Amino acid sequence: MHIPDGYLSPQTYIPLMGVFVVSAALAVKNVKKEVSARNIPYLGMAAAFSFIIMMFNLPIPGGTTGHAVGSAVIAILFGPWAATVAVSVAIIIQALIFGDGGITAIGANCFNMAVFMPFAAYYIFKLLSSNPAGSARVFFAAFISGYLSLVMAAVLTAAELGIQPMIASSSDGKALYCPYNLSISIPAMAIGHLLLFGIVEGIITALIVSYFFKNEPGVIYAFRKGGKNGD
Amino acid sequence: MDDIISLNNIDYSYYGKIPALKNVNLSVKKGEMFSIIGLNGSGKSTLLHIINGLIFPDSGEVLFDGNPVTEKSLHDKNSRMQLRQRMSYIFQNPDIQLFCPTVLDELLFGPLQLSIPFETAQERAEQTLSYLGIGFLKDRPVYMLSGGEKKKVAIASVLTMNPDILLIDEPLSSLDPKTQTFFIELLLELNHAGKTIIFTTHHLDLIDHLQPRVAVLSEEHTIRKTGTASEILGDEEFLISVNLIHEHTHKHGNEEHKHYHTHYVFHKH
Amino acid sequence: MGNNIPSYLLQTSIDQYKSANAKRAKLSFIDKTILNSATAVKSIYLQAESSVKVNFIQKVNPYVKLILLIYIILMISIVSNPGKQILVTVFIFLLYIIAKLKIVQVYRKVFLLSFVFGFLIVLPASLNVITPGKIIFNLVTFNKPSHLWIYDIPQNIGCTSEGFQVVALIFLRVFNSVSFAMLIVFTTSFPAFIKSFKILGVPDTFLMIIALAYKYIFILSRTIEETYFALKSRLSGNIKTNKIRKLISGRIFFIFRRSMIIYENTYYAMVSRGYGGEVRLYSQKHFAIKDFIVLGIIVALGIVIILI
Repeated sequence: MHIPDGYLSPQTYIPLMGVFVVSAALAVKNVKKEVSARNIPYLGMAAAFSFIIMMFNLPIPGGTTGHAVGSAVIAILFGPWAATVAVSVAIIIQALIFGDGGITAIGANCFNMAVFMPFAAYYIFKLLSSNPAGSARVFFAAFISGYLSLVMAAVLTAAELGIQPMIASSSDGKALYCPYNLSISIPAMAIGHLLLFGIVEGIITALIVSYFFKNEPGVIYAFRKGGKNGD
Repeated sequence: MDDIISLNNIDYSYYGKIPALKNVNLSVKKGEMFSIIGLNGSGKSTLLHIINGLIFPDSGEVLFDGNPVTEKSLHDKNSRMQLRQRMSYIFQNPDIQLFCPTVLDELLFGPLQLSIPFETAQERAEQTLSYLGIGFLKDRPVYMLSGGEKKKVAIASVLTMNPDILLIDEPLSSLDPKTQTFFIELLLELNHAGKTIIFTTHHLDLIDHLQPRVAVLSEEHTIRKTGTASEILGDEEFLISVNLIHEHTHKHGNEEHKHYHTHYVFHKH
Repeated sequence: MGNNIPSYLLQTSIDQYKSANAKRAKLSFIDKTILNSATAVKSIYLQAESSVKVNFIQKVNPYVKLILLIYIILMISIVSNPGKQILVTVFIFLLYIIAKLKIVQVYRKVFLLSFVFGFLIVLPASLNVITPGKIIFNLVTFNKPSHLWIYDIPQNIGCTSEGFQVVALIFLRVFNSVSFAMLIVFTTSFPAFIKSFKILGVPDTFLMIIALAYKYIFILSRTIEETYFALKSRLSGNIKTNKIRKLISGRIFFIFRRSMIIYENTYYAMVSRGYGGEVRLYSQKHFAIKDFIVLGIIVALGIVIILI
């Protein structure tokens, strides 16, 4: 899911960077409204948590283990705006220190995983879970939320990659950036995510949200009225 | 009326359920060295939070220099800034207390929040760094430092605000003996320089070293006794009754022996 | 102690437990989690260690380094001639030597990242089905060209020279971008680097969030490492998978509670020092002549590479 440097043309990553910057500014403003002066430590903590959550490996059916992108869990626990800031800070730190995901692609990666995915996940979860909800319902809603939001984000990523041959090729038709067009990039990303990564994301999202729901439902943003925080 | 801080009939509970302080009364004089002692969970840190106006009691009154400190009074920018400048709080865990990117940022944070001119702030930072002997840490990120270095940075970061009152939660916790000695001397020196110092501890030997006036917070979250260091330390029976020292029985094979156990070594003069 | 010691504690524990036949869960998730957190801690240490060394590049003003990073990364993304990219590779390698970085250590990481993301993923692009051209290396020959759903399948499938050029270009681009980014990151202290983003107009609030998050990541990674070692020392493997899931969810919940407490206290610590919702970060604005020289030379070299 992390697009590296070299795959996107400037005419793709520059506008996406712009969209991301505007979203991040809006997100900080919105979180400030919710938690007032607490916004800086609150978002710092949420960002660290969304970075950390990717470290946890869980056994998944089939005898292997996997970890999640985490945007869906973060959006359900902290709300979509806080998730936008939190996940993008995590992505920026990954790109800078750990070389995971490109620097030119920061805007694109943040847009896909920190703006699009949390909002998709949050509203899917809200739509499917009722308040007050039963634990089976919460598990189901969280699974679908994680699964669908990841698959959708993967398709979005594939689309960004797949348009490269069309918008930026050399005069003799050779690819200059991502060489795969939409008919290859979308099936390739969609199949992997529909059959494997989406399921992992869904299970992990469902497990964590269910656990929180059982033990302390009050901390889940999606279940709090008015979305007030911190008291 | 030279009480710089007085607390009258303070009650505080977490989430309105778990009691942390019950009917606490105490007053601290200007320039005094004052200690709050008690076991883990007796409410020492909560008390410091209340004195610093970070949380507010369910009932009772906090006076700072004769003026009440309430949630409302701190909405006024001037009284808030005055409180923050004059009273500084050093938390027990420096990992939590320190949040800036570098050591220098930590030292500048307080003064800059108080709108002290940048040059003055920088000058203070340089002087404080060299006073505490940590100039070489200036540009380092704080989370990389050792425990003792972090604690020094924590103190330095509040000294640059030039507070009148220092609140210190467990000043010696997790420090090695050499650094402990450094801090004991530093606290004495700051006190002689006129700073009011209020600290919490459960180490009785620290009381013996610093000879503060002492308030004892019991496990029932109330102040059981206030007095001079020698008054408190001299009253073994009382210290046993609040579990600060305890009778201790060992069994080694068939041998059994009994003694009073504490971190404090009683000096019999 | 008031009571007698329980009698079982006085027995030796050898042969007390035979391996149970219950379906055993694999415990590899524990090691993977430990590995992940340890990698994070190690990278942060490595970065901090190499960035405080006092060599030429480390001393260049962070603002200049950020400008250079953006300039070079943009240049790498625009230059589409593999030959020119190789020039850039050599140039970056020279900078590594000047910076006296642990070349093997850093390059190993750069190679690994660019092998996966810049080579394996683009390798299929060398085939004629993706990059049309003259086949220089035939792989499969069918009886006749066919058509499958939306895909045309030609009679011969093989690698084309144009395809190899595409793979080479993208690999070099990924390699150069990653190696230059690592060069800058490993020669600049993280706080100074983050603060240099001021020059791009990023507000102090956002920079403070990044700096805090970085610190929390460091602290929490160590906590995870520790709690997972504790877990490892207590788990024998006779545990069902769904128990493990519950266990891990519990660990995540614990880390969450812990983060909440840390954040609450950080907030109090900030308020206690006069914080009212806005922060101002101090950053060194001092530029030396050296900074301008470095900036000038690298910008000029970049222009030369683009123009030749």
